[in-house]
Amino acid sequence: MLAHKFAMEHPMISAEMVEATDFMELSEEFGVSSVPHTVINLGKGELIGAPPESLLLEEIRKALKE
Amino acid sequence: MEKLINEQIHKQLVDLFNKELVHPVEIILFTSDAHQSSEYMEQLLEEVCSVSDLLALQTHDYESNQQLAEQYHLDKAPGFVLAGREGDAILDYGIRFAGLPAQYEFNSLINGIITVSKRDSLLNPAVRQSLAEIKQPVHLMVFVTPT
Repeated sequence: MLAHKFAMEHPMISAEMVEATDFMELSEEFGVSSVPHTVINLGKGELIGAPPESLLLEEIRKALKE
Repeated sequence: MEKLINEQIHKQLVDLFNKELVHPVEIILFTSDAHQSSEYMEQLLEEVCSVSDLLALQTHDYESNQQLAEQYHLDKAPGFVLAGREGDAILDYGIRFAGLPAQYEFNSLINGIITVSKRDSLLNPAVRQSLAEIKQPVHLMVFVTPT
């Protein structure tokens, strides 16, 4: 998973794969309907689908500017 | 108990891990009696770890080991951390799983183990360079389903 690779690369990045059906409440909280759905910094950013490296990076940057 | 990983997959994992694993990996699992998938998850991880001597599993009960879970920034159970091990030291790279990585997500587990064992993201140089410019904490949650 790309998010896990980002975590491996950078000490300030952590990444968690969440099985949505095991954590229904949490997935509802973040409005997860189609997967994979990436939530950045608890909702500062989000991304639906499996992103290429550049797109995930861009969304992280955007979320950090919020 | 019946195996979750059949002989064919087991054989593939033996070949893959022989080729790809470099350094020891420690899987730190927190189970929860409240979740049925805990038992299944523990069995799956035990079977994966039995494939290579470079892999080890430690299992803790989440409810009675809150402090340890916090130490690993783990707040969902059942869940686990994929960490490196050097001697007695655990190297936490912030790679976690919440819930069971079944079916398609089994690949994410195997790839995660390989990434940690190599101690290398293998991302391309341009992405590495851009990531290096990030100076604030980033937490990514990737929601998936098993189908």
